[in-house]
Amino acid sequence: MVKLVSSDKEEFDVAVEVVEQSVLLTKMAAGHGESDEAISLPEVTGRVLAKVIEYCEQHKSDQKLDADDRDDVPKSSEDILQWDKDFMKVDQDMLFGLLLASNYLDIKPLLDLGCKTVANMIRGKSAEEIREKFNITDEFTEEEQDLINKEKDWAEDN
Amino acid sequence: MAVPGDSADEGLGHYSPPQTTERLPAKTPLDTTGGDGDAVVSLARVLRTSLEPHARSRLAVALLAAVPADILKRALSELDGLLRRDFIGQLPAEIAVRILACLPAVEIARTAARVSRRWHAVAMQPWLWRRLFRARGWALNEERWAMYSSLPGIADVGWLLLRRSMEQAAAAISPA
Repeated sequence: MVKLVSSDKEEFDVAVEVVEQSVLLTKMAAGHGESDEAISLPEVTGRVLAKVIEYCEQHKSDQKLDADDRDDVPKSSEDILQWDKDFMKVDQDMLFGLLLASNYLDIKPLLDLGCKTVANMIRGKSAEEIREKFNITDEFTEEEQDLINKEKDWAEDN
Repeated sequence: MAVPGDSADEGLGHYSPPQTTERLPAKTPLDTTGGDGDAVVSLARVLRTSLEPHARSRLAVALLAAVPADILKRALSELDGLLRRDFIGQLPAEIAVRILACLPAVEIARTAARVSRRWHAVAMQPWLWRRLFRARGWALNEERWAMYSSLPGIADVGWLLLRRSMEQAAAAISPA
């Protein structure tokens, strides 16, 4: 077992095969060797870490990805397993935390799952609907809007 | 002969309220009528650092319960905004690009690039288009790419190249 400590000092005892889903944690655990010293993760809150561990538990028997596959862009955002789909039914704050944590901990399948989930939230929406959905406020100045409309005209003329 | 203060108008015109002396006492540390709500902000700061998260949320709920329904409604929609996240605008660029790369090129150029300034900047990342091109088995002709990507509407350029026939695209892209 490996002991993980979140930024808010929550402790988690996790099996080695669960830890091995994360490239970063695998390296850190190897560095710790036989000692049962806890690994502290100041970048991840307990709420998010619990969710990350839930994902890793579920996927601990998955086949490891080849090094070649690791850099690929997810091919399509539709091929998501039902379990993963249900797992991702979380609020935006949690989804945001999962993206940051999976990037930091280097858990490629979870990062891809998060990216696909956000992409599916964007897909098929207008710019205005997207602004509303994500509470986006840094809108363009009038000048920039003009420039963008010109870009658009240019692209449609060509 | 007009004496100063003779008419009501003149009286008002000459009257200068002793603002500094009379209004200050009314502005106690908890007076929030000043408009900027400084006192509320500093009170909130004190409570934020001196109360445990659980006690803070109980206090917040207790305060909200004592608020009239119309104000409560407004407060809830403000809180709802806090729960939403601008994924493309706030996440590190490498994650934002990864997200957009899951979308069809046409949506990146037509919609995502027009959401906000940050989204525009991410949608214009050459790295993103490099990935999209590579996913289609095309390699970039770096020299031509440098020329195209210096144009203001790189997202549209990328989309154009994808949309138009392969022969057209071949002008900017050499086979992998």
